[in-house]
Amino acid sequence: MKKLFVVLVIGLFVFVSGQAMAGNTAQQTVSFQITAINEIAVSGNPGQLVVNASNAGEDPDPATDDTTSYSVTTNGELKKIVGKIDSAMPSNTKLEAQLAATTGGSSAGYVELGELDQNLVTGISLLSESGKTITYRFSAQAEAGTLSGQRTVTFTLTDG
Amino acid sequence: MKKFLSILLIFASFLYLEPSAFSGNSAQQTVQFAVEEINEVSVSGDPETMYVGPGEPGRLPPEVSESSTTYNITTTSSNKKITVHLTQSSYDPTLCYLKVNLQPPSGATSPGDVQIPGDNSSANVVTGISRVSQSGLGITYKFRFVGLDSEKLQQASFNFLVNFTLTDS
Repeated sequence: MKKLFVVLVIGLFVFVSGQAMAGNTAQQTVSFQITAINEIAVSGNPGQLVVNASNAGEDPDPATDDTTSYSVTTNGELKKIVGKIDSAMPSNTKLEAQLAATTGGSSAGYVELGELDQNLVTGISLLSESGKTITYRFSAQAEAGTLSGQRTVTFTLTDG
Repeated sequence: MKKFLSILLIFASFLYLEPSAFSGNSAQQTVQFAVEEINEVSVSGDPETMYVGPGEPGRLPPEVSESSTTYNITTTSSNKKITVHLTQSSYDPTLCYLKVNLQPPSGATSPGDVQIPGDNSSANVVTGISRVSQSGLGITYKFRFVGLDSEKLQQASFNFLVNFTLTDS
């Protein structure tokens, strides 16, 4: 009889406990997480850079192109954009790139591109911007002679 | 039906891959460049007037020279030369000569003093010019009477319009 009483009391607790999860409210735990986002894109390819004029006695006038732009999104801090080309430029020529700075970032101005990454924009933090101008400048000395070619330029958004 | 599905899948794959190539933490551009043929020559200005002195009695006046001017040159081409010719003058080679000597740019050759033809033909003054850009290269003129013509010797002055041309060898 005493055992029966103990069983009934335990059963009552189990019933009451079950009622705590029911009624006119309900709860859920929502977990969230923002992972690192670092995206960069370009608008397309620039036009051909043609060196075809000079003052006598001076190196040929450089050719420039500012028809393309880049877009960047990052939720990280102190990122930077670096750039490089896939192979060295011909002798006595130089390819430079200048990227417009993002808000709060700093542009390095015209930077000669080589096979190793060069800093182009630094101090990029927590932003999403588009239409930032990319300006290319192609220079040649007379010693370069006449030539033509192309290079693939890779921009990378990385830790600053 | 199977073929249609295959084509659709391939097309969908391209749609997926194409934007991926331009997104992510890097992006690429193809930059095309060219250097075309450039051939430019210029001079610093006109030389000073060359005054011919009286010389010794019974002999022709001595040669006078002038070296105050220079020329500039830029070429991206190979094996060019500079020629000289007169386009406007009262130049009479039987009476006098006008010689010119151009300092050659690096890698080129000058024949030294070159008498400018009096018949509007051209004479080479620098040869073997290739892929060079230089300024301040010297120009030297030399003038002398070589014949006695009392009428022309009494002429107050002569003006020569000298043309330098950068051209193919």
